[in-house]
Amino acid sequence: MTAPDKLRQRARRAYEWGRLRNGAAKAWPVLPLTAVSYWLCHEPGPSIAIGAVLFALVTGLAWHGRIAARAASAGLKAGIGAFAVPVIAFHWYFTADYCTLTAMLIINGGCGLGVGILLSIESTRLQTQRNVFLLIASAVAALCGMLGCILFGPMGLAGMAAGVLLSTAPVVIYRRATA
Amino acid sequence: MWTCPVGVQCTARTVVRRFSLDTGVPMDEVTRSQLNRSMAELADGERRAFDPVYRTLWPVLVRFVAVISGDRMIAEDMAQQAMLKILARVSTFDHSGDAVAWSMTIAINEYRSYRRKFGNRATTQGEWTLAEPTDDDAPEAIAIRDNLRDAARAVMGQLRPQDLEVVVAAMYEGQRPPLAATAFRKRLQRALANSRVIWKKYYGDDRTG
Repeated sequence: MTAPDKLRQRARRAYEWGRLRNGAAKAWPVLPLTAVSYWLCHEPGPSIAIGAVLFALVTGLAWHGRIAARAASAGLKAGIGAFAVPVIAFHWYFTADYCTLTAMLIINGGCGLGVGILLSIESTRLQTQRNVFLLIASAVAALCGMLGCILFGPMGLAGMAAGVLLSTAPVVIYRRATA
Repeated sequence: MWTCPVGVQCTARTVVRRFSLDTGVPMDEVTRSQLNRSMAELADGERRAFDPVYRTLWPVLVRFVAVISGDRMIAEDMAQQAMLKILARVSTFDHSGDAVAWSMTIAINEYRSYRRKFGNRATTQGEWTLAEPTDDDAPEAIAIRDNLRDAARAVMGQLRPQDLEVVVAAMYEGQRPPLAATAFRKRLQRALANSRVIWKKYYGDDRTG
């Protein structure tokens, strides 16, 4: 039998490990997204780097809990959409002739914009820490979207990031100004 | 109540009686709802809820395992294992659920695993000695009582969490889930019906014999 104070320490450790395992389990969608990105984009370096950062980020946020975990979950859900739209658009709609810089920026930027608006709406449901939620969820969603945008190269990544930033930054600034 | 054989009725009653006697003051509604709240906070990642959950749950766990195992020393060990399991899984706790029932389900499963392991070890080593001290001197009575108690425990371990919740609440004698009396009665009835089905599945229908 373990002494009471040691048991408390072990219990605390078990709790933290349990949370970490649970966080990793919640981050599982990142793995297929990275695999698809790797397979479609033929850019192993960026795909694995973004995938690893995203997996670690989502696991860490889910482990931390509270608003961070909620934001990670919302960001991941929105991010799956942000990932799918450019991939589907590139493969099933645009042929090589139509894949111009303008079209690419419209798709990626528009996708980022849409995701940012969705997350802004989602954040209004919260009573507190809306901006923290929006910031974290946007970062997760943008990273997810970037996995799909690797198809389009650096301009695609920049388009997605700009879209998310353009739709969420005004909301955060407005809230801070009116708070 | 139970329509199982007479011996099982006695066993179930014994478990209930011992549980309520040994626990002393049962957990009141305020403590119970506080535990539910703290457990939900802990599941959300609120670390400051760790100590309240740990402090409230530990004595309840020890008492509960002591009742189902009938051995205080085993109970402390089992309760430690159960506590570690509960806290490792607390992130998956359903906020609408009852923290005590959820924890006791894990404790029962932990105890069943222990029994299974202990049983296997005893089989391989040829140790057939009984682990628990008994009240009755007659060897037959001891064997029958122990067998029936194990059988009842096995059936309880097979119950669904919601069924187990009402059975545990009935064992607590008054500390029930937030339900109307009729709804609770119906759920208890359903839980007992399910336990009868599980009993028949494993041990057959003794009423005809």
